[in-house]
Amino acid sequence: MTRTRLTALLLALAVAALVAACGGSDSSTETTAADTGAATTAPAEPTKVTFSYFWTATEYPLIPLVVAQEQGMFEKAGLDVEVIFPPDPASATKVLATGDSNLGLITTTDQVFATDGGLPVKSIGNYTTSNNWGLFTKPGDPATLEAIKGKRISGYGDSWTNAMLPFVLEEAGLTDKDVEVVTVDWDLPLLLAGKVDMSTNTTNYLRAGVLDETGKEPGVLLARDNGAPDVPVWVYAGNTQWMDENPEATAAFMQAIAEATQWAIDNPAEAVAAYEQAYPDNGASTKYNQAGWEDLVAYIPNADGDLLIQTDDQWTQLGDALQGIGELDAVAEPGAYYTNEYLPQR
Amino acid sequence: MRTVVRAIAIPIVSIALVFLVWDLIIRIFDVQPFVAPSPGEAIAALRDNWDVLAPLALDTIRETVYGFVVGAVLGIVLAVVMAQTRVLQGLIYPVLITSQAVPVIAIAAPLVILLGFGILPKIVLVAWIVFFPVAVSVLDGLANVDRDLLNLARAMGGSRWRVFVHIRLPAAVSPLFTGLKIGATYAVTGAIIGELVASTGQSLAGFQRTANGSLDTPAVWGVTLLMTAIGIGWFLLVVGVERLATPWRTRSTRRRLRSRA
Repeated sequence: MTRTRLTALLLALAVAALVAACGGSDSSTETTAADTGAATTAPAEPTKVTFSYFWTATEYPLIPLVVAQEQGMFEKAGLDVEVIFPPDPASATKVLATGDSNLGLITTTDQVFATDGGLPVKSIGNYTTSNNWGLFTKPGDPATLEAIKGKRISGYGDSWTNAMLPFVLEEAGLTDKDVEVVTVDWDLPLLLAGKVDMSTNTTNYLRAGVLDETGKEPGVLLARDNGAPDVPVWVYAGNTQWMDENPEATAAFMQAIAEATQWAIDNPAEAVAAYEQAYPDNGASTKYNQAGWEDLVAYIPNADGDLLIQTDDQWTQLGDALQGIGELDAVAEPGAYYTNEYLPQR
Repeated sequence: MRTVVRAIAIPIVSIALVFLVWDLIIRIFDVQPFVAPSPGEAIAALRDNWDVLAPLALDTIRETVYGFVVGAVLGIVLAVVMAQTRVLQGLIYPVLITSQAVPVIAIAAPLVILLGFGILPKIVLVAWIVFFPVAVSVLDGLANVDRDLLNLARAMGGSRWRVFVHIRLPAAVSPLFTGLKIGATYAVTGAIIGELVASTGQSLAGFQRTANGSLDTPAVWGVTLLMTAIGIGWFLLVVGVERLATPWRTRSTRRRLRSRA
């Protein structure tokens, strides 16, 4: 009986020692990860990240994601990234807010409205750093301030267009009474068919579309050069709760994105090829994807050549513009919209 | 009197139940307002934006009514033409079915390019949706007349035209209203699709899209309620016309109800 008890005691001690050893092993792994930094050392199990895109289907602006995926930058950062698409563009922010995605691409106006509505979403890096929205005419038609008066202009009825168009009209000495604004679902065929005189869009989409369809350059009246604030259109954003719980993964993601973006800027043709290989059913021609990406690249780095870095000024200017058209009651402190804390250290 | 009260009260209770279930879902599953608002929040948003929405709703009603009338007339005409000979029916019927298999959204953009940004493409879209159930219902009514009745009319020397006017056409009235009621519920959808694809200035669909982009979810749902109300209102109007146009149906119902009571 005594021998049996002694055996049981020894067995219990052995099990306890084994458990303690396993626990020690876990904590030593954590220490290593923390010490070396998740951005450079891949942990044994990659962190799963769900990334939501701002549009309902694949498009070439996903190129930095694809490059980071294909070139192993995410893997090196210890991330397993899955890309998802919202049911409609306006739901991109909601998908982030509900936690269905952890990180994502959204428009800067989405971020302002999300902050205004108290949604747990915060911008963590610029995708583009400059405003590439403008007015476009079909090839051969003038795209000047003088040409705007009396014209039929198409828009998507979105907040960005509503916020930016008054600046351009004011620069031209006009008001919305001097033009006919029509709300459309897809502007390119209407512009090319001559059903609208001017179209509002971003250069990467409209210019690429016109080039793809006609082989000719459209007329471009860039808003930032004609009275509108020079603020970014798209940003990387994240669910604040997820980012608080996964700060290293968030920083690792942005590190990988920074590397991938720079590579895609330096190697545009290869970047487009990688995108088309990853999404062979993307539905656009190579000519369109190349024209779009090459156009977008011009707006990704800031004036100093830096990527992703946000400023107080960009958020204040956008907030003021949205307040000016009555879509925002009050502009929040810039820090409520964004943080640069997850960006790679310069 | 009691029947009338019951006829009004039961649908109201039914709608109230829908709102109750909606509200319960929001509360039980703790749905965030930016995902879906409670009925109260949606109605409040509708009330807050009523000054803007009221004229836009009138535009949508106008598009719906014009398109519905065009679609209904087209449906009746097609059904009458198809009822004349099997060859005509064989030629037209497949086209009708094909027209409904084409996603409306796919033809909406080309329609705008062809017809412009005004009310015309919206009318065409509504008519596109409405004419099919009307045509099929009326055709069924015209084709399924009591054979004995037809034989009797012919035996009494009735011409083709008189048989059509006095026997076939009355037989198609009830099916016609079945088709009209189906069309009435879908008609507003056509108008909204038309507004979404292209509109001069603001529209109900455009307002909804802007509200959606601004994450103003209660306003999005408020507009949805308004669109639904337009559809229901139009359906009820068709039911009212049906009661006036086919009094025998209501009378027989009353008799049945009385005999039961």
